[in-house]
Amino acid sequence: MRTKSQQARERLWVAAPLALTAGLAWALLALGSSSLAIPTLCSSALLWSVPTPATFEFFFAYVSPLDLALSWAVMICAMMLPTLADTIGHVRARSFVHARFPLEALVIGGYFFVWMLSGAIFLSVVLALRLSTPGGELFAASCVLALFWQISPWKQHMLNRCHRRPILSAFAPAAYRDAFRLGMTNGASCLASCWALMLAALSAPTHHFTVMALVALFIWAERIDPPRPLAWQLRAPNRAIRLMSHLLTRLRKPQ
Amino acid sequence: MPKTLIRRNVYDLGGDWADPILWYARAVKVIRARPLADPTSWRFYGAIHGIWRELWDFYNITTPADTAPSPADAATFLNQCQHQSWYFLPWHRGYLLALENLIRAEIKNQAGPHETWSLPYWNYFGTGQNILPPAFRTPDWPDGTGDNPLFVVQRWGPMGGTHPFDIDTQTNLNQMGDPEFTGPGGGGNVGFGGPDTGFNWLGGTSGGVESDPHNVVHGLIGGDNPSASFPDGTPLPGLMSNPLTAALDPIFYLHHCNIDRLWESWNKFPAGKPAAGPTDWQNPTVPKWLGGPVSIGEREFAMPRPDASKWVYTPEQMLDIAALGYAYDDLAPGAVVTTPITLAARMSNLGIAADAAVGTGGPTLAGTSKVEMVGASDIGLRLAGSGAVSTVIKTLPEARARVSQSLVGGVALPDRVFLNLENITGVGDATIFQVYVGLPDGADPAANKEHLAGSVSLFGVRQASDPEGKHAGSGLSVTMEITAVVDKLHLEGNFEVDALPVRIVPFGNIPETARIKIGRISIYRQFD
Repeated sequence: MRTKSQQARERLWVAAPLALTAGLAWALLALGSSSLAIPTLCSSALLWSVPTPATFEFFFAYVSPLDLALSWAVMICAMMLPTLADTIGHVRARSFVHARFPLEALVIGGYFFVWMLSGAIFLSVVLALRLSTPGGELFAASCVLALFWQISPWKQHMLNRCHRRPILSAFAPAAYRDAFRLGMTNGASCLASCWALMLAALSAPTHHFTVMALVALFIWAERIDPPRPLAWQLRAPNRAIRLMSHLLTRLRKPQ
Repeated sequence: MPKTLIRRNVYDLGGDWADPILWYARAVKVIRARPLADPTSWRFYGAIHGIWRELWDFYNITTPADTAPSPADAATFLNQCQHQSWYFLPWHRGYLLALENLIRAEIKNQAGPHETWSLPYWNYFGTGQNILPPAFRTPDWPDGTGDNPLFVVQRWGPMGGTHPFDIDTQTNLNQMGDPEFTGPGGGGNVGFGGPDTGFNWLGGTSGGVESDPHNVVHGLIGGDNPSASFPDGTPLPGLMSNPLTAALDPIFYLHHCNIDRLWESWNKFPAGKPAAGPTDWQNPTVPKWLGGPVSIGEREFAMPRPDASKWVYTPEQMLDIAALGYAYDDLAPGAVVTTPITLAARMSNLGIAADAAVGTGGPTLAGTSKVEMVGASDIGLRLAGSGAVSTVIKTLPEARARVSQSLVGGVALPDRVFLNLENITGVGDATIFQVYVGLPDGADPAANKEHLAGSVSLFGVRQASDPEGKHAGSGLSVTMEITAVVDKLHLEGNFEVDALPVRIVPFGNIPETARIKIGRISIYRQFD
């Protein structure tokens, strides 16, 4: 028995770069939300602040589609990248050593491909809603929709799909195809699982960064729960709660 | 100081219905009559391991009218069994202790010898013991009346009947020779006790002793119904074949008592086993294992006491069976005591020189924990019928060369090599098969056991294949050491090939309706 198993080392090897990248993205988002002066670097503040038709015009006058896409990508990096750890670990474990890096890149590529594609639709819907609905009402309606989705069996089905570890081909080109496909299916499951929470976060009239951070924490917490049977249910992220409780107990315990 | 309770061999108790068995039966009869929702009932205890209500109702173990355990009890106690996990052994040890306490309480109610009663174990590897103990084979009590609670109809496997079974043909005690409780995993060794169970992307891989003999014996006892199927057309498992029914069969606890004895034996027997490092033959010492699944955010181990109150335990509390007040009458794993092959002997067989550090023995040295995939099959396999199925593992020349180099002394230590069956899915939990590696076309597997990688039982595959279950439908994975097979192929000049043949030989008939598929077969090297 080793003090740190190969699996534990592998988990660290995968999680560390993902956490670092997500941390950087959060830093960019934090900078963006503190000021409207950096839209070209990260227009998240603008993205989260599109309350009126006037600012809509302003938005497109000053933020190019590329900036918008960058903002969306940074947000996905920050919120969703950490959820890819298990998937990437699966690919690493089932691949030849020399192929690991390109295959990991393909998984991430497939994942972002889905999210970026969906971003165009998602942001269009959000912007349209923001143009037609007062901010407070839209946020309230989004929260109700998110609650409905969260307790539904369909949400659980999509969340369960995020945990799938499919068969992967070992040799090229099938290995590359499978990795990209895994990234895409994982991205699609993730999107289907989280769309309602994301919509609520994007609809928040104020405190966008805080709301986004809270939603991200919740997404991470519910993602580490193992799959559950489908049912209408209020599902608390039990594993995360128990982990926190365990850590607090250990901290309180005298050494 | 309380007296130590001795767990004895069921075949050495002094008769088919010796007192410990008779009192076990008497207690089970009373406990079995209690309602499902009662935490001290037999069925509740079965559900602690796992419950599949539709099948229970189908077998009339419960009726749809039976009230289910309360949501609070269900959340605390039910469906706890730890499989494909390094908590497998300590969880089941606590489960046995709790069951024994429950049985003892009932024996006390009946004014029986509760202070000295303990579970016997069934050592199916023992001479003349490869047949279900007599009291479990008959529907009658010793007086000829017919409601013996130790008898179960749903035992359809070859070890569930009234005839001896040549157990060595399908299972073995090879895992007792693995000195590591937990191997590096990731395609390499999973160890005797099971893979590190964290946020585990390779979830679904059993540890050594869990895989074989534990899983295999489950399937050999339970089997599946040869003449009927479940209403959905899938095979009907014997109680012991499925984790969600297994603990309803009274023989379950004697089987697990033997597995628990093997754990104790692995730790201590024989004294002075060759060890290459201080952790060999030792249980994990990391907090994540000692503290149990609570430390990874999972449910605590919890059992109902005889008064229905909750008893919580951790692996750390299960470490010392003597401190728990128990001992086994014999720690010899099987009929014959085997000595693990030492690394020095292996290197000598390969014809390579061993340095001084190797001299202490053990099959490996501490530090060989890196893992690399060497080859994999292009396509999966579907298993059905009783005929053998073949495929090939395509190897990556440069990875294969690294293995070969290690086998000629090119590096300090020769690699260990492992075969992985990945993403095994289906609904036939009683499925058992053997896997042969490097067997030439046309060669008879039975006459070429040196090519045998091991036996596989798909205990738990149905749950693992459920898209909404804990494995999200990814299925089971199996890791088997094939170092000895690869050494032989290497010495014969048959390892340096682009395609290594693999043959799967089913035990009996695998029904089409079991829908058994193996997603991919791969080999990994474990090296320093």
